[in-house]
Amino acid sequence: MKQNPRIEALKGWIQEQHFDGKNVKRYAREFQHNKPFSHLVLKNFLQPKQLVFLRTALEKQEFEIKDTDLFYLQQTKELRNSNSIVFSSFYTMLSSSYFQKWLQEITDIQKLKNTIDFIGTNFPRCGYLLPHDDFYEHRKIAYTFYLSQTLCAKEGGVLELFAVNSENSPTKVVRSYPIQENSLIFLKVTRQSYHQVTEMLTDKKRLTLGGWFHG
Amino acid sequence: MGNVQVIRQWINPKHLSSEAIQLVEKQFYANQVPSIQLADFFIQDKAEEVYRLLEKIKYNHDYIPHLHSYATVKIESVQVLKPFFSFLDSSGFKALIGTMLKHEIKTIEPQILMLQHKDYTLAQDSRILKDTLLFCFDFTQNWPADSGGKTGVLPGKSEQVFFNRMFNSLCIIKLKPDSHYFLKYINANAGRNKVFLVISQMPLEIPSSS
Repeated sequence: MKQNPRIEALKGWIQEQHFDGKNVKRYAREFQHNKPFSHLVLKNFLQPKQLVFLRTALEKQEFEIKDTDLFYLQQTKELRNSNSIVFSSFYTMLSSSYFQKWLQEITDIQKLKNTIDFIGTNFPRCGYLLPHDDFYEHRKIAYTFYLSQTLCAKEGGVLELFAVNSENSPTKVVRSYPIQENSLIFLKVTRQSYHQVTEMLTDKKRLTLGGWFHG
Repeated sequence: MGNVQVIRQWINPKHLSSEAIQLVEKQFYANQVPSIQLADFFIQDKAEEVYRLLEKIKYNHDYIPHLHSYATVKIESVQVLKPFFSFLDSSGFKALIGTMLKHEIKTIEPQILMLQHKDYTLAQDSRILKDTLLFCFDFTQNWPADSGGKTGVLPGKSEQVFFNRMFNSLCIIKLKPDSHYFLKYINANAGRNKVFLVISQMPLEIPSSS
């Protein structure tokens, strides 16, 4: 039986259930209808051994402290041209037409460019990211792969999404996502896509790989 | 100089000598961002008194997530601080600052801010339309250094500059139209401690030579 070439290309990285036709349709519905703005959370996303490879590779990277009015966190340099075979291979998968087509089926956002921002981030204790919408230049989808251990809400580092008023100003938090290991979250970037990461109240790590798809 | 007696009732005499006043101008303009932080600005008893009054005020929390989170109160409703605000509005005080900075000081319209854990202001909350002097009277006591709460300045294309919290200090910063300022997010290390600030923005009518 002929295998779907997309599934074959991607299943080395991603657990197969995420390509099941029924699931993709369900993801598309959820993405469109999720409040306060289009977003999706997918659990158990990466193949377990790939999660370990990525996390190990990321832990070896050099992180620089970024400290501004909006955030206090640690970031790597842009990783898409990294010497790491793991990152290079992962980025190739992310920027492939197969993955982009899968993403387009879910988000209905067409004509994504194949240059993707791809950065490692860690939030140390007291690290945070205050409310903002990510709206800038050609950003269309913000994505984050959560690589470190699951934390409970009281440990901080929670992704929170804001409702907006008629003037597109954020008002209050209406959805909260504590860190869950091996999940992928992506948000549709608009002038209403306000979100924040709450202050880390633990010494545990909040390691992620993420960035933006542009269009 | 204006009402000398009023000034001497409030301000630490170390800031009133002619040498000290001349030094302020030199230090202010020596920085890339013209600024100065004057420690022990008020007479200690006066600073403590203002602090006690600020502590007792009933504040209203103002939260606009993409701009700021802090507690504040309308100046008109805080009768107990009227002597302090009258002093800030006095010809003597304005003449002193004007002499220090070689700028005419016309109005100081104060705003009271109280910040605690999870509070902040963001750079986009500050709107600087013309050259402006920012006055920050700090009445924050026992502030843990690693708690955030610092005053940050983004001077256009240059690197950001920070000013630490310091009880009984006056920080004066000159802001240009492409610059912003903010109060850094206050993290959990602050515990139950609070930041008490009296802030005033004064647009400069006449362009300065600096």
